[in-house]
Amino acid sequence: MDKKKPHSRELWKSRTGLILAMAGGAIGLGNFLRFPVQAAENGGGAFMIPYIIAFFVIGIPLMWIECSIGRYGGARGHGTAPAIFNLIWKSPLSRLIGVLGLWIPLVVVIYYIYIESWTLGYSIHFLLGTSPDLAIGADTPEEFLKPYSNFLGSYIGAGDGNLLSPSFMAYFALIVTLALNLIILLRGVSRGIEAFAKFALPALFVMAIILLVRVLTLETPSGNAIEGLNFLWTPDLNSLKNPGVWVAAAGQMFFTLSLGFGSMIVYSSYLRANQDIVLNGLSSAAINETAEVVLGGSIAIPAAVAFFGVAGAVSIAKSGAFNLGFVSLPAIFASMPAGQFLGFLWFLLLFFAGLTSSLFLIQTIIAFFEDEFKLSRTNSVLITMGIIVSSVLIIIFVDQTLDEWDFWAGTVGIVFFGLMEVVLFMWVFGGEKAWAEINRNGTIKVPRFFYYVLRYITPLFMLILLLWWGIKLLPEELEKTSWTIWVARGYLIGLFLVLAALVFMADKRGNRENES
Amino acid sequence: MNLDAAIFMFCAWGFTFGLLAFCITKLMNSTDNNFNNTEHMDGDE
Repeated sequence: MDKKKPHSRELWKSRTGLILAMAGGAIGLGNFLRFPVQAAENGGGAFMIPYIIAFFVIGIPLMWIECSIGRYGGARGHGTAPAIFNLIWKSPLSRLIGVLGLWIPLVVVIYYIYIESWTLGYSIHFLLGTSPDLAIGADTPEEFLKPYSNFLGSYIGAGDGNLLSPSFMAYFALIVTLALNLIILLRGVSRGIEAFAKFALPALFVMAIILLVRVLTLETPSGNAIEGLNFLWTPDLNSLKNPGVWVAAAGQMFFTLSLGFGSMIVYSSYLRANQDIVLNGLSSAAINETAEVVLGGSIAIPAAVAFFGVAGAVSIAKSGAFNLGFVSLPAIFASMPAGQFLGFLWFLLLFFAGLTSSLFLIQTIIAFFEDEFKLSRTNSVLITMGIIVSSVLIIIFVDQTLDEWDFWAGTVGIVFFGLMEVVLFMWVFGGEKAWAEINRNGTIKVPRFFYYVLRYITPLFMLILLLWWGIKLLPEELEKTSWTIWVARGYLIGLFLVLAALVFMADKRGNRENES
Repeated sequence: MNLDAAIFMFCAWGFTFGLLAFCITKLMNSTDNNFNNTEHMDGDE
């Protein structure tokens, strides 16, 4: 007879809180930086055609699958992928695949939290008026942006060598960011994450709307924001013949809804077995899409066009989302009346978006220690933050680590893990059983059409995406052979092995407890 | 703003706002979906 005390798990306190926390996990820096660059580079308005198709064949199906897996596991005392996958398929291999559901969020949050801290550091610089002076009278966008590009370089301490030496503000902002994450997470799921999401999401929308109104009323000698909207939304229908555009839209869907990380599983595990996942999942996706398409699409690129004209904005978009967020946008805001305040607001907005996402990722590892080792909340949070703090040092000091980790965990890893989730749930668990699990206690019923999407089309799309990236990106990635790259790869392998060892230790521990 | 860009932008906005409105309507018409307690136990089904 089992005499041990049942393991208690927290639950979301309110439906609004759950939806906002899930939306907060999904809304991140990518909504405001990555999406507009992807749209501008992949056919403008025409990008929305593959994007919306990807929403229905990858985004929403995978969201429902992750939420169902999480709710199923949560009702059985497990919140993370290794243990839940083993409930679905009793095999050591399922646990090993599940390790990815810990490894991906851990690796991503280690570099993400550092970037998140830059947004805080930049917002403090704007607040204190210590952001760089403008290159007034510059003839080209490159010259105009040079002070801000140098500023980013000195902030992260980029130099000629392989080692970085960040500024004082970079350290200070990182410590504050880590402390804020720690404080919120120590308060728990409902009193910490949920309560913060209820404040942060509305605040984020208010800040974005203020910036949007300011950007849309911009008039400069180079142009105005309406020309920017023209540039972003004019459809290039020929681009739809390019498979790369479809792959970009599918990839964006993963990033924007934070799918394939294993973290949506954890958030859903704090639902009761008789609570809905269909409408909750759809609602958080809808909030995320509003933040991305309406707000994200109307701030960065229109502002860049208003200041630098279409040609300048094209070169800015080509230089990537980082450059847009940390070089071009701050320079643009600094050039406006009340620029100090607007720059502060822009980075505070990004910081809030980043913070809700880092909480989402870190909670995954905390849940693992709580559920599988039965550690207290405080100990689980402290151990997890300890791993993050010690690992973030490699990102701070060793050049190229961030890009390398982003490729393996944040690009290829999420698609591979997402594919594994679909295969395990829709094929190993069983199509009809999985369908019933998704629809159980649903506030709305999912149309039967989605059964076929979930079973056939979603995994097919993901397989194509994985093969495309494998063929296009892998050879280029493997050509990198500097010592910093090998340090980064070695650390990734080490983290995976440590997590795998912990997963199997937890399994043995669970078996011993069951026997006694 | 040119017509093609306006059509695509408002269709995209319409899609997201429509989806959001659909979800809000359904949420308002549903019950509290059992969000009454704050803790549950293993095997709580």
